[in-house]
Amino acid sequence: MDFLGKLGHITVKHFSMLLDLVGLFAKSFIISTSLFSKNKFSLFWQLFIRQLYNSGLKAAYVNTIIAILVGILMMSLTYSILGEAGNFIDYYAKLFVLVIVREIGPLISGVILIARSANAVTAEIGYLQQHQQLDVLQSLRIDPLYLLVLPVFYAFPLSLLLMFFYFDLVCLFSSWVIISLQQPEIINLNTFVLAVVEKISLSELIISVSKALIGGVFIGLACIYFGMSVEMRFASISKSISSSTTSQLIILFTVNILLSVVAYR
Amino acid sequence: MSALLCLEDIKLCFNRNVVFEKLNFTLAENSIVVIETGVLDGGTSLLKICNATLSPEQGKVYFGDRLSTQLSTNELFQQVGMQFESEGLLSMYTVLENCKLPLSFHSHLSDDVIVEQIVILAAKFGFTHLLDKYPYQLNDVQLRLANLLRLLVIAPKVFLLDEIQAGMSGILRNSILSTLVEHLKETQRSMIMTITAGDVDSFTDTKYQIIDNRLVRS
Repeated sequence: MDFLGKLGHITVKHFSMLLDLVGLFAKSFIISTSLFSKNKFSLFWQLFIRQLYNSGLKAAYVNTIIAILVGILMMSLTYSILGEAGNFIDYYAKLFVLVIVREIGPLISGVILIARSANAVTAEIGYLQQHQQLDVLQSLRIDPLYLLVLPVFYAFPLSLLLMFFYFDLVCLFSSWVIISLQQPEIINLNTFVLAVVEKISLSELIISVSKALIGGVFIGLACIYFGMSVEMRFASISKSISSSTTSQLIILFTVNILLSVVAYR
Repeated sequence: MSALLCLEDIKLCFNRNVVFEKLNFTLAENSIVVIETGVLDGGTSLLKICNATLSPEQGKVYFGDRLSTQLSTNELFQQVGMQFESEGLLSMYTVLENCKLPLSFHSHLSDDVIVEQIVILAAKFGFTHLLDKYPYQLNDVQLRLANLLRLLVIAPKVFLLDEIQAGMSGILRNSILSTLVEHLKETQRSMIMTITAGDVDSFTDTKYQIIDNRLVRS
């Protein structure tokens, strides 16, 4: 009975969180209408650019390192199995689209976004909540969601999309460097890139963009949700960060795998 | 003088602890009121009720002849504002940006005009040195002064000041209070200030104390 009770409690808690995230999503659209005001847009823009810089641009170096490593691994493994095949570049391009563009790229970019930026945002909002700065905003008759949700709501999906494209490009480039070192004859970079690009269909592009946008939005909303759930007691922020990370990873993998299963079955 | 703010039959409890019961209060236009508070007797909560950011279990808050719940956020913004005793500023912004934020959000004034107003008021009150500081660079007295500056910039009809005198030296206190009272009279604003033992109250029109969960004139 105790086990069933706990199971029920966890189910209700997660369902309620999901409903809250959907509510935040709807509210974000509603408060977006206030962006038509010049002054409010300028406030939003400042925070949006700061968020985009922190979550997208500053993540470039870690994205580059991981993309290079994945590119090296991908090319080394593929070359060790199919290196002797006549049309190796063609095989590799198909494999690259199947593995990196469709699945690994969005997943790794999402994990980097969660580990590097989402945690920071949850901590920031948790700090504001713990120091009652959200009450200050309410006292100034400013909806805290306006200053906190909207920049994240728009910057996270855009960051994830940019990170994902960047990841694919770097991964492709590092693969080319490895094949160029291994093959006796030089492979032109243009030919290599074109071979991969030709294998990307429009539907693959749409699905990948959708993964970035949907994943980014819900990772961002989860930061806000858990940041605002912080209470006054010690360790509440760290507890919120770990709950937030767990939920974001579940959301990221669910969105990615569901979209892949639906689109590529 | 007509009533600017009116609290009617207020009851406030935290868990089973009754803070206010059958509390009534009226603030007239252009008046300065001081409320002497003790430890944990609800001074800050009372200001938050006046600020319409804390809902009592029972009772009504009127601004003029309208209930606070009938006012839009913009109307409330123009009616009342509060200085916080601790914290009260957003850590991501400097004092100047903290002061700019509410007007940027609620008005159509350009950044230059808002900054000009802030700079003039900061100079008048001697707060110019605080403008480029972040909240973490300020001590508790400076934080309260920065809060006050933001309130002066917003210029609502009712100023709510929460123990602003705490920690101030005698010279600073006298200088701030005399400039503030003069400014409120010039701009025809009203003020409710909570004070504790040892604070100055010579500038007030009316003084109250919180006794037995109610406001009693003293």
